Amino acid sequence: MSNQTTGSSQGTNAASRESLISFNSVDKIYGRDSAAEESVAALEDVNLDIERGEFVSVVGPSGCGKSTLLHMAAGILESTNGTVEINGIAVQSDEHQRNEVGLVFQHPVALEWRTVRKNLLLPVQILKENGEIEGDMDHYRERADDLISLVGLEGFESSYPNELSGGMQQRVTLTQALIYNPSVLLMDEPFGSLDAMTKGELNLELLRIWNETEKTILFITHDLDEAVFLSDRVVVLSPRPGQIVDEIEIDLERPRSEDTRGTERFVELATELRQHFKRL
Amino acid sequence: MTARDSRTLGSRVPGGGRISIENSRLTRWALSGLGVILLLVFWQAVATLLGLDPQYFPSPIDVMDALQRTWPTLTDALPHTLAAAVVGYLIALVLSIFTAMVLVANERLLNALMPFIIGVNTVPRIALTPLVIYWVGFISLSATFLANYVMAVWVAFFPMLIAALDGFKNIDEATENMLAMYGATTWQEFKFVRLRKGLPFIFDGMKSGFILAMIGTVVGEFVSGTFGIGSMASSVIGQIAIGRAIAIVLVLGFISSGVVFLIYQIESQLIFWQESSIMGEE
Amino acid sequence: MATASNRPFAKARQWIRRQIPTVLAGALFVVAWAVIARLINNNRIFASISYTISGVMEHSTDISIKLTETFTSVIVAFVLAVLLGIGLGLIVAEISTIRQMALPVVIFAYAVPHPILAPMFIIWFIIGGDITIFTFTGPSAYLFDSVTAAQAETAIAINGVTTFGAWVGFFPVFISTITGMNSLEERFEHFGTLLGASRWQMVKHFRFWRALPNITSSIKATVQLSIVGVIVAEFIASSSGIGYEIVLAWKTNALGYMFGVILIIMIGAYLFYQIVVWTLKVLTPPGSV
Repeated sequence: MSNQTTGSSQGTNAASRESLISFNSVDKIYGRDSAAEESVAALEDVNLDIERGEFVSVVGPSGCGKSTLLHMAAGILESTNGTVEINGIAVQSDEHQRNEVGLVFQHPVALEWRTVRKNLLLPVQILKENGEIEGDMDHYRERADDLISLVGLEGFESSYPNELSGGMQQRVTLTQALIYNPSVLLMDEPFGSLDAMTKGELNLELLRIWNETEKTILFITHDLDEAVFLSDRVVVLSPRPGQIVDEIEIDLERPRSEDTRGTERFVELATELRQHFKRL
Repeated sequence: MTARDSRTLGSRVPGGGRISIENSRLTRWALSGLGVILLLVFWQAVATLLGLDPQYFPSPIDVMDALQRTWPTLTDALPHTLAAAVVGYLIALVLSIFTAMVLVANERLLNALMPFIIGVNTVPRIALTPLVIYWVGFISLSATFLANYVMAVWVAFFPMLIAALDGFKNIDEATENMLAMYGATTWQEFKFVRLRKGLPFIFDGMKSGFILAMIGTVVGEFVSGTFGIGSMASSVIGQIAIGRAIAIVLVLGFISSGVVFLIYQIESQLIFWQESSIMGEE
Repeated sequence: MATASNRPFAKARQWIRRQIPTVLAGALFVVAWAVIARLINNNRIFASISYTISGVMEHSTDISIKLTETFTSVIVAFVLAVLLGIGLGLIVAEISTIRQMALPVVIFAYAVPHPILAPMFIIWFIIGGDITIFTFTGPSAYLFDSVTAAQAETAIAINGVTTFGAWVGFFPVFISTITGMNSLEERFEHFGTLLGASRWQMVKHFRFWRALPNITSSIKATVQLSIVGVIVAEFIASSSGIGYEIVLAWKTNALGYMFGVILIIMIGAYLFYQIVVWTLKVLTPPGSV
């Protein structure tokens, strides 16, 4: 464990102060182009900069547009106004590098007819065919084996998704996002459907992986404790239309462990975050 | 293993699914066999004990007699009917999958054509039989039998098209987002996801599609009177030969259920990640 | 949620919007028909709209009488199919031994191309005679002066045509009743056991309602199937119904008449389908259709 990332938000090293993900006055209005439905403003004037190596969580009441925010960064949705940039390149432009961004979905998206290993290699197949990534397949196969042991799926390489528990399926989804080594990891309530035990376990594992791989993570959750436990910074969105109403620096020491949840500072920060929600 | 358990419980087999104990499987086979035997015994007993006229109410033995007597004609007629049904079926199958792919890839076109497809699928297409025969006969009187091929395609195509459309569109939001995320092309969507996700639907369509192709052919033969099983069956009416009628039903029924069973076997082998059902999704 | 108050108006508008594709498809169909007829310009290959109308007018009394006959048969077949399908389905679903014993027969009956059975049904009723429930004077007698009450007499009867139509329509209802009854979620089973519900109570309070959506969707399929069954039987029963009229039109090379009759059947099938769907919506709890 290197302690390089231990206090990354505090490490006010001028060189690392570049922002990797930036939302610039982003609005999102749904149903504007079709006359059939009423239009709904999901997000309004969102400005958010995330530095390289930072772990930022977005919390907010359900329906506030958290997922919309993430899907715009992933290039799945287009913003109505404003731009979302990754590495200074607009996500919607042709120059956008898909290999820079990985997305961990809310529910496992493992395809039922592919083994764990083949599911893991699916993004590589698509991106390689489209010339978005380089390197030969053998390199990625080796990487797949490394990732399988990184997330603790050894022995399940040839299993099919149906044979895995929900937690294990979600691990597969996590490795899918890591296989092509993107610098940005977007996570859409990845542990929302898991039980508390598995969730706690995967939280720790995520921190370990983050530490080892030095990714920049944008994490969506509705679990306030989870947000505090994982992040360098927590961003609070208001109910629809979602606007950033507050940001809280989480100055808990790293590396964090289960014991961190018991510290005074953790309870303080979690309480502070809850207060914000009461005011919404 | 919870995922697999819930899958087994929610299985689509009408019998409530496999309880997965080999013993109960044996019991079920035995019961099925017993059912067939009981039916035959009961039928024979009623016919014998009541002394029914075998011309009107034949016993199973009378039916076997009739089958033996019509066998030569039957084997002459069968190739004509089967050729029309099988060729028509294959044409309809290939055409339906190809059309469905084109339509799913062009959402605009799909939306524009959907009312027509649904419309044609809900009207009794079989009513067009005489018109099809008329048109084919107009092109060439000596090739009237081709109308049976056309009928097979016409009757089987639309349900198979709708099955394939449903199948290719059967893709959840998460998977759709994943494909968008990696920038998958339309062809990649089909290659990696849609073709596989669509398989259970396509197979359901294939099972009912084969029966429909047979139906189209048989009705075509009813009306046009070209040599085949259909015209053989309708000629039975004038002769009031029930035994022969039942014999014909048995032969065609066994062929048809044999093919359906074969498709089901292929399906269960190919789609290992979920359970298949012989009668499709009801 | 706020829009719930002005429901009726919004609902009407929604209904109209939903009909647009159908109306548009219908209009396009007529236009395409006119254009193709103009291009081919030969009423012996492709009947034009006016030729079809004149063909229909020429035989208007025949069509009216036969159409009444056919659709009366269809309704009898449809009702028989639905009642027998649900009734037998309930029994077979409840008794697993019977279900297992009947399985080979059910699969055979499902896979056999049903028209091949039509001759059997017809012969039996030639031998035994039709079972007429009652007869009534069809609307043709009131619509046309030339039609006598005797000519317009229509029978609601169990005969070769209606039993065959019922047989064809029976299967979807039968199978989906069984499937629906057996797919009751486990938690309801547990709930029933907890309350000590009897088998009949389980059927009455849980299983039947679980099966209802399956049953209604199969009834929709049965509409078309009972029409198919009746028309196929009429094709070969020679002399009865609109099905035989199409064959007659083919034999006399009367293409306009044939076009007209086919079109009328299609429209009739569409209307019957809409009526059944509407009735089901009214009769069943919301969400079942």
